[in-house]
Amino acid sequence: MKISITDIAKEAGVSPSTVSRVFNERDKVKAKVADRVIAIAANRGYSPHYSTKRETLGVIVEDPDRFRMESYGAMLYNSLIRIASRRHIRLEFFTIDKINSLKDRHLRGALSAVFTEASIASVPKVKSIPVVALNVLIPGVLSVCSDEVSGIRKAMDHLASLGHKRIGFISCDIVTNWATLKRIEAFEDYVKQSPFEAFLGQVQRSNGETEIPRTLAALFKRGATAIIVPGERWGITVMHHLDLIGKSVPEDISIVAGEFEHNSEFLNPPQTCLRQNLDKIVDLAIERSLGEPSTKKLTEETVWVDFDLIVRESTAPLMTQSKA
Amino acid sequence: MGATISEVAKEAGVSVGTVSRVFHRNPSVNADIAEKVNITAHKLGYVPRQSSKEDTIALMIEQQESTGTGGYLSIILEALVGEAHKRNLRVDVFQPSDFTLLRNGFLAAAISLLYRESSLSALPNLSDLPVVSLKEITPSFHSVCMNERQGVELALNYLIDAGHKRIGYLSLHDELNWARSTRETAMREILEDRNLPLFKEQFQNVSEPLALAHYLNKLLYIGKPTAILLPGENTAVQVMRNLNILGKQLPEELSLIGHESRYVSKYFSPPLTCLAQDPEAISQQAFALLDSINNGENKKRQRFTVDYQLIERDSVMPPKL
Repeated sequence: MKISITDIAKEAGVSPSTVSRVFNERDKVKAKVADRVIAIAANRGYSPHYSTKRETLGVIVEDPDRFRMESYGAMLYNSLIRIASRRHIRLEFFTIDKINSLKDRHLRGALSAVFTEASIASVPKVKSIPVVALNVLIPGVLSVCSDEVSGIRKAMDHLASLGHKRIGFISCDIVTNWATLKRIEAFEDYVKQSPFEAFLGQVQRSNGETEIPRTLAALFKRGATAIIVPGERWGITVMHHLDLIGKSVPEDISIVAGEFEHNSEFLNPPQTCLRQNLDKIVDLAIERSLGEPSTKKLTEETVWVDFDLIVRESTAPLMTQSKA
Repeated sequence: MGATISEVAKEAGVSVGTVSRVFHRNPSVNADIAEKVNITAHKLGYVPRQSSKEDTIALMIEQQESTGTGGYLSIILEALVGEAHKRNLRVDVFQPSDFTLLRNGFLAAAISLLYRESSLSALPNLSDLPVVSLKEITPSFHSVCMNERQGVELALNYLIDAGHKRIGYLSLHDELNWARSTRETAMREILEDRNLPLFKEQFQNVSEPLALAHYLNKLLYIGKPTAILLPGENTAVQVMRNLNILGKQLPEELSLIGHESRYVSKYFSPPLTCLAQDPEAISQQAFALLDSINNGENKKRQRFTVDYQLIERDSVMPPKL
């Protein structure tokens, strides 16, 4: 016999609507009550009807034929699906040139996950629903972004505390945008205020294979003892090229890289990384796109989310390195 | 002859506007009413008539509440969005908690990445909707999958040709699924066929980076394999870290073949020889199959596989005598 919501409610001593809320709006039910209802439901083999009244958000993405998001996209998509699920939000994916149809879809709002200049320029055209941009600054559009300046500062503070004064910075983003420029600016500002020597190497993604070795050679020639390599997978690429020229990490050079999920911790040696808090970025962006009251900063255009510095084994004090 | 929207409204005891809102998934409609309208529409055989009916494709995935699923979901998602884009479709993601919405019209087709029994049994009747599964698990669906057997054969032949006779297999012990059991069967049969032994270990997925060392040590100690096959996208990087700590020289002391992790496998030390999946080919094949179902072809269940490619890099060399 099929167990109904009323059966569960009766046994738990609550109303049917409370049972429904347990399965659809858990936050609104006391934990003790929710636990009791779930235990009874599981016990009696009740399969809940999830509410059909679920908010749907659009996600504006690049056309992958024209622009591939690479490892960053993989991490971002994972966060989107994970957080949307946790918040009981459904996602509908639109490529950038379909944004005109956003208005026909009864969406509560949309998240923008595009990063090329041309795509970014189209986002402000969406007027019918709230749009929140993920990790990119778009004039007139709300956004939630990684705090690039504080990230670079954390990396520099860490290297400085280990005694490093000659620090290289390899910039190889998939697109050169505000984040790239902000990071470089933060790096140069930091260096200006401290007794550092800094070396900046910019690498075009398409020429990474040839430009990274050349950039590394230049950094070594100038006596760099540490390098910062933002961007998810570039830390792995740079370590590979160091390996090819016979340089050991951290003995010959310390590295702070961008965290690449499931990989950075397993490298030889495990990498000291700056981790973008993408889950938090997505979570805040969803909150803003729903215009939820807990969003105090609704009027501010950009909410900044801190990087975490994860110290592993690719950075070491200067004196233990073979050359200074 | 299908019912009209007013007949559905009358039968369900609501206004025509409400029926329309239900089919446009307007969230302002009360859940119970939406459910009633859906059931009524289904009963009366009402097909919502909208210009935009056929512009959305449902991607059905497992509930993603907790930790990440590695890279595969996002890579296949990107490929599917790209392929959908070419056909003027958008991709709407459904998890088991959203399955009641699957009835709500508007869908041109569905692609399933479901593999859990509980999720499959929670699916509403989708008999009117063309569905292609990218997992070889749902007997009633058409499917497009990677050719797991061919992949294993490709890797084994490569190792055997290089002179390896003691080949190990280390796999993540997760829910039993078709891909894993197919790979294991293929591995066993192919090696048996060649009169070669099989050495196998399974490990539990734990976040502790060095926990694998225990399983690796066991595998290396018992079987003394000269080469190991490592299925799973994020397995190889973990194994290589643990081998480094165990002091194993790669590939001099041990050859490895892993599953390609896009953008990174080629930068491992040594660069990893890999079996590569092709999410774009899977997406194209899946959409082509959906097209043919829509055109009334393929009444019978179709199963397609996409072959693995072997990417030769530096992690395999002949065994030392």
